[in-house]
Amino acid sequence: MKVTININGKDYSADVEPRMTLVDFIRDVAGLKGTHVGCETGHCGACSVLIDGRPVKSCLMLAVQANGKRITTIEGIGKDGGPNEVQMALSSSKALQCAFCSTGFVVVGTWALEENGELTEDVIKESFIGNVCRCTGYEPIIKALRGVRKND
Amino acid sequence: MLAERGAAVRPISGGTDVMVMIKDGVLKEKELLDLSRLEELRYIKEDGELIRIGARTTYREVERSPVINAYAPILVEASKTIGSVQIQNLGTIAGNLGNASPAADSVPSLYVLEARVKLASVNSEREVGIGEFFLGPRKTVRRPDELITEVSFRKMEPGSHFFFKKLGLRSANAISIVSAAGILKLSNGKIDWLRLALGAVAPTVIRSPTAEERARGAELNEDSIRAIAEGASTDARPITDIRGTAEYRKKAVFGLVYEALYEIMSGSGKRVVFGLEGRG
Amino acid sequence: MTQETYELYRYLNRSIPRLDSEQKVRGELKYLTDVYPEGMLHGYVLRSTVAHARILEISTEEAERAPGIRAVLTYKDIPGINGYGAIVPEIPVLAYERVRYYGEPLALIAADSMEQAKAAAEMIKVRLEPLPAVLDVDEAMAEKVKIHDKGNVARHTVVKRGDVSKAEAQAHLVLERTYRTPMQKHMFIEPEGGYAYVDGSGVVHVLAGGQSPYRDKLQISRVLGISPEMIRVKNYPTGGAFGGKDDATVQIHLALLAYRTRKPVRLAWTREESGIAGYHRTASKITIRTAVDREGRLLSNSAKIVLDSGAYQSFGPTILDVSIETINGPYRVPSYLIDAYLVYTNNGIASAFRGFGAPESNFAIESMMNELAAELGIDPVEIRLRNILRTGEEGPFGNVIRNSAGLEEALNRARSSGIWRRANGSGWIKEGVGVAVAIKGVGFGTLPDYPSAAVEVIPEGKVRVMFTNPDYGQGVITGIAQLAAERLQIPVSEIEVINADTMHSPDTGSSSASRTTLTAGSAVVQAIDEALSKLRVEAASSFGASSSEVQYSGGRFMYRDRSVTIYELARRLRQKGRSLRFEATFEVPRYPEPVEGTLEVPHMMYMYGVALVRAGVDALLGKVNVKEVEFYADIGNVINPSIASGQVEGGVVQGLGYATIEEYRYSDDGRPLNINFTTYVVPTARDSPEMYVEFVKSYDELGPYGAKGVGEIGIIPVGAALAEAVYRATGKRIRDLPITPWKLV
Repeated sequence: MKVTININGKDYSADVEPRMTLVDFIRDVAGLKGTHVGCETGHCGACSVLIDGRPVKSCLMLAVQANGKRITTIEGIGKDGGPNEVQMALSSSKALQCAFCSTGFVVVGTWALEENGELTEDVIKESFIGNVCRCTGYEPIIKALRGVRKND
Repeated sequence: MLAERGAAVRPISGGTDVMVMIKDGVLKEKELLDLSRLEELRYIKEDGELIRIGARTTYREVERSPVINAYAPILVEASKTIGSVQIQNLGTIAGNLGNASPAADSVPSLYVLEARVKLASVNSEREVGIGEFFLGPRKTVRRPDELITEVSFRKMEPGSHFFFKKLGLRSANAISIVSAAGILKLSNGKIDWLRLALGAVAPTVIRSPTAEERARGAELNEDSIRAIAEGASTDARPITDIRGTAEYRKKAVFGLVYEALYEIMSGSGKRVVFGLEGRG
Repeated sequence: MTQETYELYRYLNRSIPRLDSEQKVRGELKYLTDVYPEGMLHGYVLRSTVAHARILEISTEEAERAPGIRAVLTYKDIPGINGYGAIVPEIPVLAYERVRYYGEPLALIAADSMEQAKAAAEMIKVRLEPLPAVLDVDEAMAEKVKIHDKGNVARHTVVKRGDVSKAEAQAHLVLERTYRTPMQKHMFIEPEGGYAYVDGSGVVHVLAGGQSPYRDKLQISRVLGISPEMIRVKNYPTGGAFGGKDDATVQIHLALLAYRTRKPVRLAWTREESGIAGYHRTASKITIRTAVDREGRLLSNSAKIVLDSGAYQSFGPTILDVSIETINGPYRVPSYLIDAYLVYTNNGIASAFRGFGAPESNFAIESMMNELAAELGIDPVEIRLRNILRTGEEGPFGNVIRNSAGLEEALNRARSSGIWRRANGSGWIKEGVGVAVAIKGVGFGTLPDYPSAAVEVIPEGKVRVMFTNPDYGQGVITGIAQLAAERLQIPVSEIEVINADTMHSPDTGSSSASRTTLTAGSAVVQAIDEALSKLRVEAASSFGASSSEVQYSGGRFMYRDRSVTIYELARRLRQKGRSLRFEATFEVPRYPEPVEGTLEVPHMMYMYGVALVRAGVDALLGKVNVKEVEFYADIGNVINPSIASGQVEGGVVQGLGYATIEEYRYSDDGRPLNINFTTYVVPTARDSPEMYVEFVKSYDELGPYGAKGVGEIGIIPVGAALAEAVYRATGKRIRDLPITPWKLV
């Protein structure tokens, strides 16, 4: 099936198998490897992307379902060519370790900041229950993000 | 498509369950019918005393809907516990119904709302009560040529108390070991009626007739709460699996129902206040 | 350097951000499973779907002829030895004659597409004659079904001192208890994977998540039957490991497929494949009998330790050693008798997992200490203070205790913590606080360990530091760069690290046993000293002075009013065609001989930790909710406090998962039941408690700038501390982890 998906402002078109997942489209067709696959069952959150500004797990969606939609992946996130507020907060030395999950945290955190204007402890604990981190124990992430505000 | 090749086709809505089946190779159907573009099935409508939710409406939309917050806040509670925000943005109530897991977290609330499920095919349309819709784990009365198009229920009564409680191994984003949804109408400290549904304790979600019977007309006090919670536990017919033993699940049903009713008695439970959800 | 210069460091004791963190948050760091080499083939492993069987036939003819298939390999196609394993090379690379666990690899396929590979796997004819699966250690020790011809006990040893029965006869109290801990899965977010290719000169390159590039290289060379020089292994970056990528995972299979096809091959396990075929922590069953006097002083300790090794050994023998070394805790134990068994079963292969052997034994001895304290009516911190070894004393294994003042201080800090007063449940929520102490050796004990590292001074203004202990998230790149900056007195921004690549670096060994700071840190410091001494001679000659007259400071050599930077000196050396690369080998200090009956006990360097856990228990639902954890640790001098405390916090939450919800399980016929994140549940952000970590002031002169190690200490005492908190809350003693809700109602 022919699909065209706009990823980070650029259209990617391909003839794909109907059962191809969105994450496979992102990684294999668009070649954007910053979106990671940790489980393929929608539990780890490493593959989180934004569809029309809202976070979803791209392993749980078919590429054909995203036909014509606007997707933002980690490669499309940032501010004036540099890291955004969430990326800056997370790159503090202990909010990430192996960081295989971090791109998913950045994607969801960027959405949560956009949605709420400020990342409070409640917002953080609410937003990240679908993102597993096995290294940090979460508290460093929570502390790093707590109080982060959107500054324009 | 469904009319012609129904049995070979699996309708896929948000895809949060079906995608996992595809990956695991356990999906029986050969073809998928993508419903995600059926925008006309994406609605939450007030229709007199009824609320109608289109099959394509996501949990996130339910959770954010002023109508649901005002008239069926129990469904907001339940939707918030479904997976995570990334799942709530994809998953739909119709999908949760179609998948027919006994541990589905939106279903107990639909039981106590006494919801009706609309099924449509090319040349027919019918509605069944939520209690008749499920036949067993992964089994429903949906015929291969039918689609779930809508779920509807009556608005909750103003002032009624409600709860949705789930117990998972961890605090969030876990499949329920047991869950319980309840709506309770109190007048002058007495229970007019209780509707109580239990998840993950039987082949389908069930109502608890024993608990509901014991509640009718009872004073809300520690003794009655205990008796009602014990009634719920008696009605549970759980199995042992990786998430818990049958024996434990019966005890957990008692605990969940006891704690929920105790919170209502002590004034920390949730209550329907039209226009906004409040504490009573 | 001495402890007094503590405050004078420029680049140590500082929480600088990780050198690779910006790349990481931008998604620019390419993990080895993110690389799809041009023209690559897809690797696939056909695995056994029974736990125990005799192999009657594996025929691949039809599969080999299938479209897109470039190679189908079975044990017959292995050019060298069909065996690997970190300690004993007994694990078949591809099954031969017998299958001993569900998921054991039977054949390897390389194909143009994954679909073709899977289709070909279906065409491989496999005939197996099922044998009874033995999944329980007691059943295995009965030896009714032999998993290996030599029997089901992989290793048995007795380690003893003094007369235990005499001590027990004189004791005020003797308690005997049996404790169990479960198998735990690592559940790193990046499953095992990577790629391999053969270059024009025939060198086999294997780039895959891992923890020990030189060991991988050696294991690959044995299996391929070629010289290690013809193999290159790179392990950085790796998306989490925790011990689960220490022994080989995909590396040997990748090498075999690339070597056979001469094409680039990618092989990455799915989550479920990781769940089935990946390693896990040894389950333990420990019966411990401890004798004390009226004041709670330990008189003797007897333990029967049984560890479930699964189908093969991997790190099992050394895991057993660590469990032996830690069963006496950090205590004065005059006599002991340790009877330890490593037992084969038809479960998957147990291997390294953070602290290996220590969390298992710690749960037993520290739960015992808490039970003794309760029986005797002594405060649980006090009973430990009465028993811990002080500096200068001889430990139970003949080792002299060095620098353990930190433990006493940590216990005193724990005793005066406000956490004890914060336990106040209400209604059906009961709360309690529990304590446990941990000890863990750094490195390989008495085993010889000679880590090497290299530095290269780049005239353009960088110093390149090369070592092979992979950074899979611990932050060792950053910590070692800080040590290098301190030694060179130049900013960290001038340090460039090449990590975990055998093409660039000599063998610094593995990232394991909390050894990287000690091994890579010391070797790098020595390599820098080597570089500086060579550069000093060059500087002196240019100044017309003798080396001893030349001063070094901040990246420059100085003589009177003249000075020259290390980079200028490097430029001159380069012009002369001299090498700018300097290597050094560090000899890890150790006792010459292991204690009788052990392989590597004791260590010379130990980390210590004290965990305080406050937990609430819902008495109706049995659900444990950990509210708060305080952790006081002695890890020596702290290079980067933020990264180090992050290691403790991450370890603590893995420990809480282990103690509450995590348990890898098998069906009665040996099929793993929870192999993905849906069924094997790990903590989420909501389960994370408030955490407070404090490092007591400590300096170990054997480590680089007084540093010891940190990676494993956090996870070790968590189970026993939580079990005690639950006991304080509910009056129920849980002696088998995890503390699931059904054990409490």
